Amino acid sequence: MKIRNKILVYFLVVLLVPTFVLSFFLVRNSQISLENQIIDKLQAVAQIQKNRLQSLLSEKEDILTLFTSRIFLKGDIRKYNEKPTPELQERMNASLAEAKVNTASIDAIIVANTKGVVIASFPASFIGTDISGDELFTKGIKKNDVSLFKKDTTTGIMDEYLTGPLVLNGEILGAVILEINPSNILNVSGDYTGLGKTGETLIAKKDDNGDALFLTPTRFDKKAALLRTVSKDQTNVPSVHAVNGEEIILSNAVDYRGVSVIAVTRFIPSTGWGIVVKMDKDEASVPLKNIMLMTIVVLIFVVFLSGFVLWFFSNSFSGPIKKLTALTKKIAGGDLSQRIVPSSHDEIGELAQSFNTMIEGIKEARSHVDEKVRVQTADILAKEQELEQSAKTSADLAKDLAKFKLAADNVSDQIVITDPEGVVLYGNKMMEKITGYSVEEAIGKKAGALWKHPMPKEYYEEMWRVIKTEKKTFRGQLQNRRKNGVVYEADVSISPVLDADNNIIFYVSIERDITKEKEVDRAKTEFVSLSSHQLRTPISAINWNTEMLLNGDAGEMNEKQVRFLKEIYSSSRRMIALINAFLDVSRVEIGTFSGDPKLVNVNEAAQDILREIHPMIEKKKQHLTENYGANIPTIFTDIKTIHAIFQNLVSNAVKYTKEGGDIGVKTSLSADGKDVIIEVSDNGIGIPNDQKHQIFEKFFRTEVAREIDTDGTGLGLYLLKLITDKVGGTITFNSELNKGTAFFITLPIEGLTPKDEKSLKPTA
Amino acid sequence: MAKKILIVEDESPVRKAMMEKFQSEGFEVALAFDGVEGLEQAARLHPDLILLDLIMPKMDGMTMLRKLRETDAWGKQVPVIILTNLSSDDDGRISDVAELLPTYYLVKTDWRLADVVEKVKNKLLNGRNGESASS
Repeated sequence: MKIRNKILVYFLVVLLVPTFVLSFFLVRNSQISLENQIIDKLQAVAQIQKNRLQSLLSEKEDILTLFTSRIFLKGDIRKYNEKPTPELQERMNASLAEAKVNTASIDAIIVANTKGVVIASFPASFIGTDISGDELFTKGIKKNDVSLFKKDTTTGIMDEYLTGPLVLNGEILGAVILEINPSNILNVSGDYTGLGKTGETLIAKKDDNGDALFLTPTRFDKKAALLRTVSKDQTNVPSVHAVNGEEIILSNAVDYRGVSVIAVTRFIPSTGWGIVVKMDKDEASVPLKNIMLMTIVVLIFVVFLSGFVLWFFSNSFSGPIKKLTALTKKIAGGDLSQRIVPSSHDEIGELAQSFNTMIEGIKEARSHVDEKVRVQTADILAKEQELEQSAKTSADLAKDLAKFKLAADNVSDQIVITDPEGVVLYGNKMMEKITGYSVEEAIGKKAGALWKHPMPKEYYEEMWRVIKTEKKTFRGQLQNRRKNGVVYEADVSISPVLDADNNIIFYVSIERDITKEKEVDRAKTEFVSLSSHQLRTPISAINWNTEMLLNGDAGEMNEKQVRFLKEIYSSSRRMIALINAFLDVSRVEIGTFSGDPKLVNVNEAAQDILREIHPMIEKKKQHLTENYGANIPTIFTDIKTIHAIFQNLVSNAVKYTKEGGDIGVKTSLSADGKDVIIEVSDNGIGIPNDQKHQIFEKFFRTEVAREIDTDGTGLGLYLLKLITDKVGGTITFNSELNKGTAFFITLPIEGLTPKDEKSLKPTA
Repeated sequence: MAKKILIVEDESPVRKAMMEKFQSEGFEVALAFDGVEGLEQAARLHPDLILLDLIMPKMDGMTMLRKLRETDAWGKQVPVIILTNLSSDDDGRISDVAELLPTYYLVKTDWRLADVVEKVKNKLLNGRNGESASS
């Protein structure tokens, strides 16, 4: 609901409800107090009237007493009663006349003797009348009565009489009747002052029946005097109560007319007069009615006025508020030029003011901000320059990192980075492919727990020794188990990453699933083995049969037969040499040449081979010089490698040196202690310069070598080259035709490649 | 009494040569052409020595030797010379072989036949893995 309507409704309710309630109570109270006021007034008037009447009555008593205490008159009356004489008559009349003159209100005076005969009167016309039956006489002869009223039947005029006995020395002479002008009393009863329009004073007296007889004309019944009565039973009529002597307030009375009145009664005991001062209720409540009317008019006026006022009042609120609302909308839309004109000096006006201030403030702030933005932008632009630089680097780094990541993910080897305890921190895509575990699954778990396939205890001891204790790269082959349980063979290289203090912070392990390779290798090896086996089989048949022939097992051979047989034999032996060499070369090329690394004492190995070749040396009467280095450490390698080296070099030296020549075998440690140097020298045929570059080629044999030994395979040096290459060593030579040759082989003691050195294989 | 030699060999030329040689040396020779026959012959004849080829159909030499060693007390101790053209240094072959206690492992092409005979004689005469001075 709008504010205006709200205000209207609320205010009206707040205003009118109490007002009505108040009015109601006011009216009620007014009614009551009004009544009380009337009653008070009536009381006052009643009291006044009573007092007036009482004083009038006492005046009348005085008048009567004045007359009845005339002694001379009374003396005359007594004498007259004894003997009436005209002189007495004369004197009595004169006395009466005098009295009447002296008292203004006396209209007539009648003196009657005890028999009720008027003996004197003024006017004299009444003398001789018999009034003994008249109430005036009968009452007066007994005692003073100043409250007798009589209505003149002819004229209808009411007269007031005072009567009383004339007593002289205790002797009742007669009665006196004074006719008084009742105007005094009538003045009192006819005085309606303070009694409004319907108020009046009634004077009543009990008549012989006990009813209330009005003594005076009433306001509404001029003929009521001495005529109208109110039955004594009508107890709701105040007159009845008044003549009973009650002095009470009757607020719900009904008067002689039957009209509701408020009445107050008084009583004058001396005369038995009841006084009623009353006012019609209607008239009494007229002020009340007026009040009510006024109230209603005022209320209606108030309602309309307040409605009117509130309407404008609320408008004075909602108007500006609407304006403010419209303004704020404009401002929210971005128009900061708007201002509101305060139309009043009250709070709304204040609000309008502060609103304007606020807009100013916003404007200012905005421009502040704009300025700041300018400054900042300049700053930023400056910084941007700086950042561009570092961003470039970062971008490059990021690119590199991305490249690296891409590379790592796309490399065909598994890369796993673990913490020093072996808990996986990172794995590349290949890891997922090879192990079957996703990167999410692997991170946080120990690599060993995930894909380890049990290897011999020594294997792990050696591995940890290398990477943890020695803090070097461990290379080996091992078996792992994929998530799906399949066992596969892996070629592994684990390197520790050290921090500045040489503590291990990571292990980086690079693994390759070599199962296929191994299968291929195995297949190749099998093929090679099988092939060589198949090749050898017929040759052994040739050999042995030839041997038997040469041995004479089939009888004597002639010279030519022997010669031919020897040819056959030597060719087949050559073939065997070829096959053997081919087998070795194949194995080296496949990588299965060496498979059983051990700790090898190089010097001892040399001697082993030399022992075997010794017969040859002796046969050719050659001199062997052995020079074994003292501090050559045992190296962890396959014995076949060492054997192959010595075997090939020494047998070459022996073969290609003439009889009586010198053969030298020397082992030593390199200057930096990192390599073993094997030297085999001779003073044989040497290698022609133009063929030196071919010496390590497969099947290559120098012409001079060919001349000496037709059976050579041309694979020996090739094999040695392969071997030394594989272990990261070198093979070099010095040679001079016909002077001699010296071959040098260096073998690195550390960091040998997996296949040939430190190559651990599952023993299962 | 002549010593009985069981030659277990599937390649005919080789087998023939061996047979000729050993017979000419005065041995009694029995033949088997594969591992299955070899076991049968061994069980039946209880030779003094077995010359065993490795690559054979039906049952290869290794399997036969293993079975031979498992059959009975005699099988466990009968001298066996493996005579093959498979290099001994192929992937763990030696270790397999060693387990089965052959007397020798000889590569045919490395050995003159006469020298093989020599070895056989030494073994049979000495009753242990004695080697002659020459090889």
